[in-house]
Amino acid sequence: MKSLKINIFIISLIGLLCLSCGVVEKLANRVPVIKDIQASRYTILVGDTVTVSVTAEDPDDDDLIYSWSANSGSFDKRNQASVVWKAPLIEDIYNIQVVVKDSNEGEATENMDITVISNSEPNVKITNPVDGDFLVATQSVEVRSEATPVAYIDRVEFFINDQLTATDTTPPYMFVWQPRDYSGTVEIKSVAFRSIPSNIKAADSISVSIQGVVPIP
Amino acid sequence: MIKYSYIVLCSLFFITVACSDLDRTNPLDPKNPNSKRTETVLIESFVNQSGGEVITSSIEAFERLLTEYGKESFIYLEHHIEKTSGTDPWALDASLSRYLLLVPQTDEQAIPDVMFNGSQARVQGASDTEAAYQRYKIALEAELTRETTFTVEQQAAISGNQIDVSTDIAKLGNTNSSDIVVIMAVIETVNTGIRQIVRSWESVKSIGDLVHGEIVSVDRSIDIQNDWDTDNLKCVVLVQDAQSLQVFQCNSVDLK
Repeated sequence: MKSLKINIFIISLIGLLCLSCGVVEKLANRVPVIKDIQASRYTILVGDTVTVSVTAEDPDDDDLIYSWSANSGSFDKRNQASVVWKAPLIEDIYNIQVVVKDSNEGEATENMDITVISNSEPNVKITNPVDGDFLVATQSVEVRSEATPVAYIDRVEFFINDQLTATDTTPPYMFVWQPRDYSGTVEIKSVAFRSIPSNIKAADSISVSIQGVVPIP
Repeated sequence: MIKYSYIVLCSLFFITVACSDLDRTNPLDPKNPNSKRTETVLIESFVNQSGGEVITSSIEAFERLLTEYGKESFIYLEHHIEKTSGTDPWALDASLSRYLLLVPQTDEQAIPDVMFNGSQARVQGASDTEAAYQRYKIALEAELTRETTFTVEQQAAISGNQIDVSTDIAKLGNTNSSDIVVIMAVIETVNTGIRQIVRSWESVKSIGDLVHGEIVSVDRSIDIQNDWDTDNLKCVVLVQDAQSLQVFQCNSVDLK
């Protein structure tokens, strides 16, 4: 009976020693913690490269393993804290993801968006009215224009017979036109402006036939 | 002899009774529940002589349409309207009232403005003859296919200083109509009959409800004004819904 008490005491002592030495903690692995993820630039041209990096630490001081991925584009290396991503040739917003693992299967994930733009003219098209439409002078018409990439369109200007008539800075780009003072063929032009990466504009134009009226004499 | 008379009378009675049960399949029979007619298209053009180029374009477009389709294809009326007296010798207060009824929105009131079958279709404005012609033609083609369950037949004759008009309006088909108004117009043809100027415009009768198979007669005498060319007058009668202002049927006859 006495020897049993001694054994229990010794086992308890060993347990306390293990706890103080962190052995139990080692058995319950803690996942890595991602402190920060960043890119050298968040808006780049198509085909350009950007350095993306992650700052992470492991509470257990395990060695960390990095794995980068993206929904398009390519990396020079994928397994370092800081890598270079090469953008694809299509304008869009791309998602970059990094997975940080420790040596005990613990992992953490973080991601960010990189916007890829081209240096080309914006796409602009007048969607209403349609080229060749007859418009009645007494009835107002909603002149609408689409312009892309939307995130980089600063403004869309509308011209009636080369006269600036309206400006819109947010999509849907439009204005309500009252053609009462016009008769015959009229040109409607829409000009989309972007300033990133440089000042570029593009235009679309249509012709409509305004059916003239006069007030009742 | 008396016996034979009874037999003949009884036979006639039974034939009469039996006839009432006969199927009415004649498409021209007003009591035929399936009878209907092609609707004569009524085109009302609201203009003013001093309206300038847009009015000229509109009138020329109709001259072209009348030449292409023929005078019998549709009834074309020129309502001359003015708000300031003296701008158009053909202007009528009744025509202006008609226009303000059809286009009550003040900001939409401008000429030339053309109505097809009352409120059924509207084509406003005319930048040039070709554009106006194309737009009128599209509206006309759509209306030419329309069928109606009304017939309008009138007789009109000049008697002294008056025009006596006698009209029969029949409701065909198997449905009834309500809130029906009969309008009579006297028109004067100019430019070898192509242009037809409205000289008189009157709502002559509110029929109200009209049961299918029913025939209503409307008579009216219209005073002839001094400036009318009595050699070139016509009488137009139209049937219209008082609420929607849709014209269901119209007919035109010459006055001699």
